[in-house]
Amino acid sequence: MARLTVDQWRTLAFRGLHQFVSERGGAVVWPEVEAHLAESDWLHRRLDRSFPAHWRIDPHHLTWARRAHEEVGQLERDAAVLNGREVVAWIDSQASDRRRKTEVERLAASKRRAYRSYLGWTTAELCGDIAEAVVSATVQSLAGRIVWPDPQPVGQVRELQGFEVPGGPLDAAGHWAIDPADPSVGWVPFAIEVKNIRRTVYPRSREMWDLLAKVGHFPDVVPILVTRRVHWTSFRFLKDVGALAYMGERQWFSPAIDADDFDRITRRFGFADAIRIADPTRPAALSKRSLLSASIARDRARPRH
Amino acid sequence: MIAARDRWAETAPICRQYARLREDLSGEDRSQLWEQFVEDLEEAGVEPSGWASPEHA
Repeated sequence: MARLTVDQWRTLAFRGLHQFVSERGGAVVWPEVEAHLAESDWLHRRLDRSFPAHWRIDPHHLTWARRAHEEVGQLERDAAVLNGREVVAWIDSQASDRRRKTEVERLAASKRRAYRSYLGWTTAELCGDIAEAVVSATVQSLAGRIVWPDPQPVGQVRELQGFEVPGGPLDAAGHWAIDPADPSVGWVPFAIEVKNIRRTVYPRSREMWDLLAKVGHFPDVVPILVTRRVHWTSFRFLKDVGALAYMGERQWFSPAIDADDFDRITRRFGFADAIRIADPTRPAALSKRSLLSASIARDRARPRH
Repeated sequence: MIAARDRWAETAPICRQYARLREDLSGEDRSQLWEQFVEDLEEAGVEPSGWASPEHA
């Protein structure tokens, strides 16, 4: 694949964002933009067939493009508070005539309401706890062979090596057998933080430092981040500091959420990897790849730009 | 996993210090702290493999 320069990616992001907002009727929510331009083959399908189908625009380039569109007056932040929470849509500010402007504003309001419903599902009970259960089940499925899990409840790992974890509990912990066939070879302690979020995690993301701040107090315990998407720079960063990441490529939700509402809203925004999981305690939920082997495989993350 | 453990033993104190200081900073101050963090890692023998650029902030 041809390597593009940063400026070329930014130019592509600027052009792609303009096209995307236009084809979506002039109003979008930001995760909808990222779901299509950063995570799907939209560039190839909708912008230019000559682009390889695997091309994606990284979120930081899209953020740059959004700011650039704002500066030239092509895109406008349109926020409203819904059920006590601010929800932002981005609208085509060049919708000139009154009728068109009204249409765009109505669409923005509709998308904000739909996105607010999605945000209402991102609670601990319907979202965070579900991912923790998925990860815990996977760690437990490896118990006694590769991993010796810590007995503290999932999401409530308040102590490591006999000392309190500063800054709040971790989600899982245990010991990894250096040689599963010979326990006398030794163990590597690890601790896991699960972030069941849509944002792509970068080296400077808050979610990254939630983990490293806690485990930084335990130099013998390898930190492991489990989340939906990790930028390649984060894999490189974690490898360089001696930590690991597992990119699940799924955002897990509770089956208690109404199936029709869930499908309608996630489909509308292109959240193809948001799934209601019937039984989060099934180890197979994470994937056939084991958590730890997948973490190590991701060390081979290659930069695109 | 063994390589990670050995490396983390060296970098955990540096990460812990950065994590503690970043809480009180924002904007340009936090960017400067990040640069200092990268320098501290380099002094500890870490060669940043393409992740330290301001572009990815």
